[in-house]
Amino acid sequence: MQPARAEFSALGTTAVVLVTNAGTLAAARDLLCADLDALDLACSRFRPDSELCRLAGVAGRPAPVSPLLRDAVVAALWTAEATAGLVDPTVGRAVAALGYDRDFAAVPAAGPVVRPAGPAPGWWRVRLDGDRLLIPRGVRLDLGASAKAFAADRAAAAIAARCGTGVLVSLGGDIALAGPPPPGGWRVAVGEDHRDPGPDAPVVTLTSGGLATSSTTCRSWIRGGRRVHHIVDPRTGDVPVPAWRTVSVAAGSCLAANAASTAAIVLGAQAADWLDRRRLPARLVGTGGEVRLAGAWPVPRPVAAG
Amino acid sequence: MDRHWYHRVDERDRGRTRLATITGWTAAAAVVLAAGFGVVLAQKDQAAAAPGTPPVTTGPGTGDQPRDQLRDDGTGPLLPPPQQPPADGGGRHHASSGGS
Repeated sequence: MQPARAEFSALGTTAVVLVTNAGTLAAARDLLCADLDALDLACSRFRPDSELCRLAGVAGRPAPVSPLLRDAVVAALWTAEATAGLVDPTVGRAVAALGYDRDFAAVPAAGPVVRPAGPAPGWWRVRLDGDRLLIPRGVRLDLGASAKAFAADRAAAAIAARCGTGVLVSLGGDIALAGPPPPGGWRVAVGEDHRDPGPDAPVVTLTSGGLATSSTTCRSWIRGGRRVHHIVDPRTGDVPVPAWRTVSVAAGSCLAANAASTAAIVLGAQAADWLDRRRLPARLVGTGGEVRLAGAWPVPRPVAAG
Repeated sequence: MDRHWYHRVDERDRGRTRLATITGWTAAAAVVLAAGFGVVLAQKDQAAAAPGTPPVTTGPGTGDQPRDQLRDDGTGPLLPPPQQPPADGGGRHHASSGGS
């Protein structure tokens, strides 16, 4: 029996939930929908009423935060630590300086030259003591690099636990698994655009953990004739030196997979070796379309698109 | 005239003058201290927002952290999946991953 599937728009992208027990689909969809609504209200940097935006008013002083925002910040700081700062949530000012200062749908496709904000202040300056968060004055948090993966892991675990089903949650192609997989595992096509991976997209089978793809091809815009995108190198505050346009990584969780795939884009030419040393199965697509596999990513066989 | 009365008035005036002087100096000192404290706070905020190389300690979100991207022994917390993903043998896929 095929897993049951539901899909809807959330967080500016596509949310998909599949369950092995079809009778739990409605409950699973409702859980995911409520989770994502709550996450948006807590973590959005574009909503003036979000908890994160309201914290800007108390910058420089510890302020109590909700358990959800606290967990999202913990995930962002974990990501930063795990990648030795290659993925850093304090790039908020840098991302905005490049032009991504509103919902992506409202970002003009082209505009005048922008000046990078310079190196990120550094994630280690953000302090979390219990439920009290201190964001130093002058620091703007952007949880976008980790929030979707964090949400996918969190929702998948909750759905598996409460609905008693195997589940796959995909948020814009960042995939988290929980509970028992379907016979043969979850088959995931890996491409450069999660909405249309293409007929020749390789398909891999997963039974647990997560798979994430970071790409510079989808969320990009032009400033002063230069193509910029949403992945920022915290060391410069600018887009990374182009080496890979798309990196997909499988890992023990969606958060870890996403941390590694984003770090690989930032790291550039050294990324394949960096992933190999961590034994992370990865597929890297270079700026010219060349593919390199790392860390025991399987040699793919093309199949028909589903 | 009651000389004692004048004497008491003189004493009271001198006391008031001394009190005013002390109050004035105290207020001036407080202003100087507050200004100095403000400068220190401003520098602290500036330092907090400025990039730099942090000292090495431990714990996410609880203190300063290393920022050495070249620290790369491959033993970090980014663990691979429990099972390496095999290539699929064919058929329809359940979901797709890609840029968003």
